[in-house]
Amino acid sequence: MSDIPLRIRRLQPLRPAVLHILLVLSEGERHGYAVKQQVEQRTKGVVKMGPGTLYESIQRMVELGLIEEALQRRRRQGDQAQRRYYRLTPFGKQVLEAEVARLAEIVDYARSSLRRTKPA
Amino acid sequence: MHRHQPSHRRSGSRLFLLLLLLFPRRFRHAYREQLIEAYVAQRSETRYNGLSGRLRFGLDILTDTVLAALRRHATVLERKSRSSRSRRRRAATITKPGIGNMTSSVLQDVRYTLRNLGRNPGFTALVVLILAVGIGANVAMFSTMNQALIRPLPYEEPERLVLGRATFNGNINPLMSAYDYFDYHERNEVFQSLGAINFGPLDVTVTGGEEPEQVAGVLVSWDLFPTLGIPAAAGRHFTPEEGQPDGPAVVMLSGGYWQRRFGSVPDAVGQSITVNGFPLTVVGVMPPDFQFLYDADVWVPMRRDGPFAEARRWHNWLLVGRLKSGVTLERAQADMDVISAQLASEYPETNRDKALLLTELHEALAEDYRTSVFLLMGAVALVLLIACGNVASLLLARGSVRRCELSVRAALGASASRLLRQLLTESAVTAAAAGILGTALAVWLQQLILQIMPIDIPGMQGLGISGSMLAFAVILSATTGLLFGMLPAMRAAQTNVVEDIKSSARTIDSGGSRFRSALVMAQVAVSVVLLIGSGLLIRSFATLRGVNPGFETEQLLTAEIRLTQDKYAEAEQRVNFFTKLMEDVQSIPGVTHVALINQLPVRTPGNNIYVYAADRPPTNPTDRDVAFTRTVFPGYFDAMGIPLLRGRDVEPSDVADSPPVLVVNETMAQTLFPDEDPIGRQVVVDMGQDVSFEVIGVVGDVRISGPRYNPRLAMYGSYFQRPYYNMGIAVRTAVAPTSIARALRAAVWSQDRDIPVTDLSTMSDLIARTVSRDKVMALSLTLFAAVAMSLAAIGLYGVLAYYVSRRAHEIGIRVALGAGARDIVRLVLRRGVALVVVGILLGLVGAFWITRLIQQMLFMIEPTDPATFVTVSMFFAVIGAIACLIPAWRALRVDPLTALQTE
Repeated sequence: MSDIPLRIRRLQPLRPAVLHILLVLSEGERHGYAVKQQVEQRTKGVVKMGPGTLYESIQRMVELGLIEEALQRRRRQGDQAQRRYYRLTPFGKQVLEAEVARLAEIVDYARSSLRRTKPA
Repeated sequence: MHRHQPSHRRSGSRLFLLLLLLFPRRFRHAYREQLIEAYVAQRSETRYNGLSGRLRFGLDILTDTVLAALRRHATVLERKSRSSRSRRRRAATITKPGIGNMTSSVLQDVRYTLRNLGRNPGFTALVVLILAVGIGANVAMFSTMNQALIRPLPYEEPERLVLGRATFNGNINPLMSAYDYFDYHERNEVFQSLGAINFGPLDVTVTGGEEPEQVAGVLVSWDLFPTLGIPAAAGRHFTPEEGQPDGPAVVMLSGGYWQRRFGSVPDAVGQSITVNGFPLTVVGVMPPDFQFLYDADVWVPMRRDGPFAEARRWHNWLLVGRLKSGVTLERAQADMDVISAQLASEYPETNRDKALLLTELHEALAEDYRTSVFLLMGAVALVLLIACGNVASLLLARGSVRRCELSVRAALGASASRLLRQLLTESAVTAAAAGILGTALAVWLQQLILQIMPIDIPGMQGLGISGSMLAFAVILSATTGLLFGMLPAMRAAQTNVVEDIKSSARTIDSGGSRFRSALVMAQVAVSVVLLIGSGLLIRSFATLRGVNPGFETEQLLTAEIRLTQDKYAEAEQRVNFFTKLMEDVQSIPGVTHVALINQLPVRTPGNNIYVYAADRPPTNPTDRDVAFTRTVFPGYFDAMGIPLLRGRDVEPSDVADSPPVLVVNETMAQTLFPDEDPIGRQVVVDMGQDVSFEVIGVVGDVRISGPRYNPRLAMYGSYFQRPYYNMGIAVRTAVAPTSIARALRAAVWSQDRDIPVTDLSTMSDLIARTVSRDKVMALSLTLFAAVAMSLAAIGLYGVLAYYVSRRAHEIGIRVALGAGARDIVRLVLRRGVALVVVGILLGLVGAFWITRLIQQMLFMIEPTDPATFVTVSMFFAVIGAIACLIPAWRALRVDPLTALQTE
């Protein structure tokens, strides 16, 4: 277990695309394009992901063991045959939690230093 | 998801398939379906609507794919090298040559290539330089095009901004009246806000500082800046009250003026500045990089019933709207059409054929530049294509030289694919070098482009290196490498070991030379198209320069003089000022004539007004004619060299109390009084109310709006009857016109030190400025055509010279057998002439179809102008003949003895 923090630290900081994909998938399984749409919606269009970036990130995350393809998913009406769904792996969840904790620290630090700064 | 059917088969998805080729194969296979689905879904997003939207989509997708593919390739390479390292650690394995061990053999290829290219530095430098210039020009042009036409405007949610322009009977005016604007503003249901901006900057005088200052002021509706979504840098925007008839007197400053006048101190807000004699309170400052349509130093709020906003029949405003979210352009246009119809029935006299046309703001702003930019982009792309042709031709020729080397490598066990890859690596390395050099060149070139072709689209100033520009450079270099490298490499890799190692000088590489001949024909064709295009533009420009503007343009110095409203409130004061000024300027040594008019021709066009003959009132008010209206001092026509055809000039006796008089131009006389004597007749002019004027003279036509525009109706009144504050002065001199500028200023200032004399320039400069775009386009296209033609001529020469050197043996035999000089020349020429003739014919056909794209840039010249087509063909035939004759002459000097001895 002791090598896990190192494994995680090596991935930090996460690329914005990776962080947002992890965030969306932490709510449940999604197929690729739904991830993209939700990211854009959630960030009010600030984070935009082209198709290439989306699937390149997904492939990379699968290789790193952050997410995996959800198998044996029942096909819903209107779903397309070739659609693949992805979900978070336990490792992915750890990485996400670690990254959020890291960001929270930065935000805390930023807030306190802003409070100390007096307007010119 | 709305779509249940995969729409792969729709047009364009084939392009997506092409894009996918950029990814590594395994990734491509794994994600093909998903990627295409995502491309198709993204294309249907609303922000990609319209032409510029589609271009932007292409660019976004391209950038995204290139970057993602590069990342993926990097990951794959990294993993491979890591695994091969670990494998080596485990046990030394024998690596198989060929595809199996791509990474290390690619490195080997690159090393070999660098050594090889280094051995022929001259050849390599030539190829890299040719390509770098081509790639640089393309990247620079692309970056300009991207910035002007594709990149979103630097405003908040720019896709929701639209430009509203008035149309009359469907023709774009484009200005709309203030009253109509107020109605569209109140009645529409589609705009989040709808602003308006006056037709151009007004020169206003700011006093109260150290010296009077002339600045550019623009009238805007109070909500224009909120519509654009640009917050104030200091202070606030205008408020609705400030747009009311008796609203507070306020002004907003540009960031630049704020800096100049107040040193950017925040407490400038709340201070007062005196504009045209009126104290105005500064309420806000816009950011320094903000600019919209015109360069402005100050913005003054449009007031209902204030200047330019007091009627429905005067058109001075452009409308800018921000659509409510979710409203499409079509729906907004339908809403505007409903309001236009209402207005037409409520105010038939002014609004019968009037409507408001909505266009996406970016598209509307880019309209003026689209043709020029596309034309130049097309031209530089064609030049690069020709350059690729030449490099391919060079490589083919070298391919036959290198045959021996390649055969040896093949004999030592290199497979055909291995050789092909080696040769392609050479092209890739060459193209990469050219790409890097070209991009560096492009950064400089794009500044040059903007300097010679200014583009007024917000955000053009910040042109630098952008991600999309780099992506384009990478793709272009790769394509270029493939384009010039593929065929030569394929030909060279097909080696026949036995034949080639014992190769003799006589081997005729028929396939290669056939390909080179086809290349030359294509080059000739493309150059002919470019030459014809530039020929048309040159002829058009020459016609434009040759147009008679209707007055003498030489030896004429012009300037603007503006009296302030506080000191010259009385008409008599203004008359006295200009009368004395006229006398003073007349007495400056070197001055022969002085002309005074409220709007100088060419410099200040515009200001039309409805007119009709008093004894022939039109049955329908919209059938009235429109005439330019001007006010002149006596002696104006004589000084400008405008012929007085009938009657008399205005005279000092035509004063306010005497009957109002007009001098009309020939077109107006012909239109209102066809085949009759106009002198003494009455003309009714719509000046708010109808006013009758007596025609006292007829003068020649003047092209008031510049040489490009045909003369229209124009009339000139007496200054003493309409004494304006602002007048243009034109001084005709016997000496160099600019040399009297100082004396002219002194003459004005001898009466009043507070009156600025601005916009000093000679009339010939003013006219040159109106045709500067035509000049730039003609010059650049001629430059490109000249480069293309030289490259094609060099290609032609190369093919024939190669032919002669290969046939030296045969020619030697022919000469030995008694063939005359004429036969030998004919032998060579036959081949060259065929190439040139076929190339020219192909080029003529191509030009016939392509030149109509530049029709709107041509002045009085048809895009299929036969004279240009014939001249260019003849010209190219001569160039072709010269390129053929040199090799033919060399063939003549073949000495039969030497030629036969080489065996």
